Amino acid sequence: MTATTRAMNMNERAIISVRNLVKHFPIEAGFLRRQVGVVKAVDDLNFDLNEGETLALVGESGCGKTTTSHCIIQAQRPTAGRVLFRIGDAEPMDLTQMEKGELKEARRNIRMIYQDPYSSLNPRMTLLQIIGEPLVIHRMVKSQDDLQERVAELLRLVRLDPSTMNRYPHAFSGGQRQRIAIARALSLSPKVVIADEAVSALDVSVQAQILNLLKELQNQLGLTYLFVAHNLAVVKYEADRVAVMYAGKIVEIGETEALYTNPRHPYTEALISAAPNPDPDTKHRERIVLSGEVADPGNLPGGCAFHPRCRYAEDRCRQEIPELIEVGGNEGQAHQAACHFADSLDLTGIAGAILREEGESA
Amino acid sequence: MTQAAGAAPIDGVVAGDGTDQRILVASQWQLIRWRFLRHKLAVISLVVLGLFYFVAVFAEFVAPYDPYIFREELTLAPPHTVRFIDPEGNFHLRPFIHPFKKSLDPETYAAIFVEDETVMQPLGLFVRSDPYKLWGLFESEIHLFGLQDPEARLSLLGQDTVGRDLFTRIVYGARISLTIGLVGVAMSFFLGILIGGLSGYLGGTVDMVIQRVIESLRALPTLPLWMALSIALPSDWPVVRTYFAIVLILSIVGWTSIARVVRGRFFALREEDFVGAAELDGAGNLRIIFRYLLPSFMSYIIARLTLAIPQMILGETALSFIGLGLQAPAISWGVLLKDAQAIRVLALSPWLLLPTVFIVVSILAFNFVGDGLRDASDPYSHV
Amino acid sequence: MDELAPPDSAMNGSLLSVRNLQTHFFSREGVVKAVDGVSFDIRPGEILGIAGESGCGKSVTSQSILRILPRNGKIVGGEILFQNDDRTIDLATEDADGRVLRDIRGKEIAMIFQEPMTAFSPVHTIGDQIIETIRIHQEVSKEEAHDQAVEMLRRVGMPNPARNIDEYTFNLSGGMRQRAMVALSLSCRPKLLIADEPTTAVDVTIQAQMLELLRDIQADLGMAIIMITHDLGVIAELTDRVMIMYLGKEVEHGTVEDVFHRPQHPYTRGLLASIPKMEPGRVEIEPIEGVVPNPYAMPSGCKFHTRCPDFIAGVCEKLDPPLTEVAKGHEVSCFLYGGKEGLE
Repeated sequence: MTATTRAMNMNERAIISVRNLVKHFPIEAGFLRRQVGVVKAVDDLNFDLNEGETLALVGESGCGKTTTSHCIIQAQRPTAGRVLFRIGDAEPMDLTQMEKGELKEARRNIRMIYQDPYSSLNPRMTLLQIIGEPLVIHRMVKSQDDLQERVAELLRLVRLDPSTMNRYPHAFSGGQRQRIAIARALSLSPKVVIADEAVSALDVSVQAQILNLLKELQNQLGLTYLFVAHNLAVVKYEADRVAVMYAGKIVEIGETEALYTNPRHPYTEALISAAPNPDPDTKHRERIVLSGEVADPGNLPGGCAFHPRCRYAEDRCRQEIPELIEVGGNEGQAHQAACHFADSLDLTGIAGAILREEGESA
Repeated sequence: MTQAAGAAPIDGVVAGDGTDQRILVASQWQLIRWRFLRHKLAVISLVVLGLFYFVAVFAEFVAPYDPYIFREELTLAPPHTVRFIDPEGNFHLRPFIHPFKKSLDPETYAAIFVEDETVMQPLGLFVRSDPYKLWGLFESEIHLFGLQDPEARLSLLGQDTVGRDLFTRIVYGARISLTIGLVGVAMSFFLGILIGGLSGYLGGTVDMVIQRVIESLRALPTLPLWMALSIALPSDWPVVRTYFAIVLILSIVGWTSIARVVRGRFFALREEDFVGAAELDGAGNLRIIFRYLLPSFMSYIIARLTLAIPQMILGETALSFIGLGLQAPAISWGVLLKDAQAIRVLALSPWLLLPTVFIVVSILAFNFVGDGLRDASDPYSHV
Repeated sequence: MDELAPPDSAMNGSLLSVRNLQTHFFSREGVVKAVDGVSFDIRPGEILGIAGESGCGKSVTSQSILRILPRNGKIVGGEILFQNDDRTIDLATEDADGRVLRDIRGKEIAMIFQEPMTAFSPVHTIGDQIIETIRIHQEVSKEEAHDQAVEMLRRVGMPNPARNIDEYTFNLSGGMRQRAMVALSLSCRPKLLIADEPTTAVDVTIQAQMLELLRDIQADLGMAIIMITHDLGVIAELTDRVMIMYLGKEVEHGTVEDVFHRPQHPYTRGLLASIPKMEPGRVEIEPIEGVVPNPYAMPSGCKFHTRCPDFIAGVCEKLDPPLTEVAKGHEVSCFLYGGKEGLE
């Protein structure tokens, strides 16, 4: 928690700045629902989402990545902290302080795509109704004809046939449904789209279609993405910057290529090493297999939450919580890690993994 | 964003090839109907129920006689055999009966009814007999069917202990027995949706209080509760008032299960992504309730209600049978069965049990229709 | 694969030989040919991968082998020959609930699932269930079975086997449940282990643990494994040979090296091209166009022709491509590599 985060200032490139974001869930027990503990789902998070970029939040289940995205769009109200949002040169607004009416306006510009395209579309509404719903609610269409025209345009944008707008979602496959969900998200011409595991439920061949579609739409419409995912390969393909989360905190954040080739946190190193790669030559490479399980956010270990699984852990890690500090990225790009030994450890990224294999096979 | 990005091909639709095009644009209710129609037993049951309710609505017209007019000489007369072939072996296109000749058993002095083969009484459609007022409005003497001779008596399903026509009384009884289920369920439905909806939508303390009340009500044993409440009804109340009081008593427990279902569905649906998406779209509470939540479980609730009707019918029958529900002169299937309580009468006149057949058939039909509706009510589970 | 030889000699040292398996599902909407003529062999101690996207029939194949298909699924053709010691048993024709299959299930062929909780009863301890499984299939005393169970829990890396044996599954973490499930399935030392998407629902670090466990335990116990997954990364990591399926058909089959480095079928190539890679630098991905067809309205001819970039008009939509051997042990069912001759 540095002095700069206290003020209402935002990095000039940022469209959303998350400042000291905290989301705690009480653990209640017994008949009287007494609070017996707290789940620290998100714990003092700070990061900027820059205009026009794709920032990925990556981590394992329970790391707080989805909670973070929900706290940004205020689908869940954070326990503490601020979410600053700014359009153009206007004054930044704090979404966490907004009333319902103000939020409705703000949410025109921050939209969300869900993971499961089967549950995120109301099966009892046609495409026209689903995609048109935000337009109708925000009174952005004048007539039924106008609505149809706008929906047809949106369908073409996501490469679906506009003549299908009177069909119900059950007529479409998973990938097509996700296109419909994207069309709904884009209907209000938003600035920011939060994609919460938007491709995880899809088959790989279809996943690739959606990944490319999202990229094209970003280029075409100048969108900013917050891309929440657990698949490291997908994140590497899609994101400009990556924030790795563990137990409610960001443990490392930086440019995608730098973070993958030169990780500075042992957890990032382990994640990269564990990600299966469709190349049988990498079969015999030495993998870092983390022992134990993801830390329980309701019962965090002291010190660095990752220390029980960390092969480099020392006494200091058990005592002191490491801060997220600058570790010196390439060419002045920000690269931060929360590890006491970020500067001294020699960690292996993807390039290293491949090189070592080549050395072995030679 | 006016131009479609790039020139990549537009996707076809997954079910487009080979599948019936109508399915693609079919709404929820169309899908439910198609699926329901595939459930043969349910469709047949629906037809049976339709017939029963038609009879109940037009009871005065369908029943051949007046349910209260008795003929002493026909007390406990058995059903007639409807014949097409006369004693000489000639075939008649128009069905007929032989009227009864009554004699007394010389030893037991019990009445013996013997068909008088010398007399033929032909049946007919739209014949004249006892006058009635349909729905208390339209006076008429025309009945759907009966004997062509207005003075003779057709005993289709036998006569009761005072010589009233049992078939006629079953037809009139359908009115109360079949509607009490509907009215009761309508009342349960109203209370259930209202209270369950409040419980599920408001949550928190309101929810907890309502749930405890429901649990307490459900903990009471149903039949003793009904009995206690029925005993409390003044016996001099008119039939209509007693009728609604009974419905109210039956619904007291009935609404609780509906309320639970509604509450559970509200909770489950609030977690659905598409409801969350609608909230982020900016949809207000009322829009979410009426456009997203209610349509999502209305079909399911209707299926549940159909399955609840038989319980109401049985409840009324049980209460009336033990003499705590409706009382004569009201006619319901339960009241009719009260006549069949004495073993001695039953042994000699088993047709007095025939109302049971109608009760069983209608309850089975409701169950089959309910099953069919339940299977069809979520048309998105397999498509 | 010698299709013409009589069944017994056709086993040819294989542990399991699936021949032209056809499993169909019957419902009111119509017939779904979930598995439509699939053949493969697995030798003792080998790890075979079956991969494909949803609806390709990979899970139905495994359910057919153990005859645990849902009620509307039926094996309508083909053979599933299992070499049980000296006898060759055709699992496809045995009574699904009969003695023979009950003896084989769990003892000779075991299975692990995506969700470990489904393998265990919540009201019995892990030990009770493992001991019961052992005692159903082997004539050993309770104490002996208990010792075997503890030993198996130790082998799968449970932290404290002597204590874990008396625990219930709901007390265990996700990773430990997975290990317990592996211990249960291996308790009778099966000759074949079928793993149906065992790593799909778990996090990447737990998946890495699971793959390491399977590899170690296979080296240790020497059973054969059929790994069913949609994740080609998992296939590359674990298996020796792989069969790629699409809409109930086998499209390509060979060693992982052959299939991943020299993919021949346009579908395999498309699949590999559409996966983002963990490699430095920008690697573009190329999706396969179109959508997977509706199972009730399957395309004619080659099932992939509706999405295929190498579609040969007049051939692919008319005929079923036969399996063609493009290299030793590397088979492809695609007209690009022959099979058209039958046309003329």
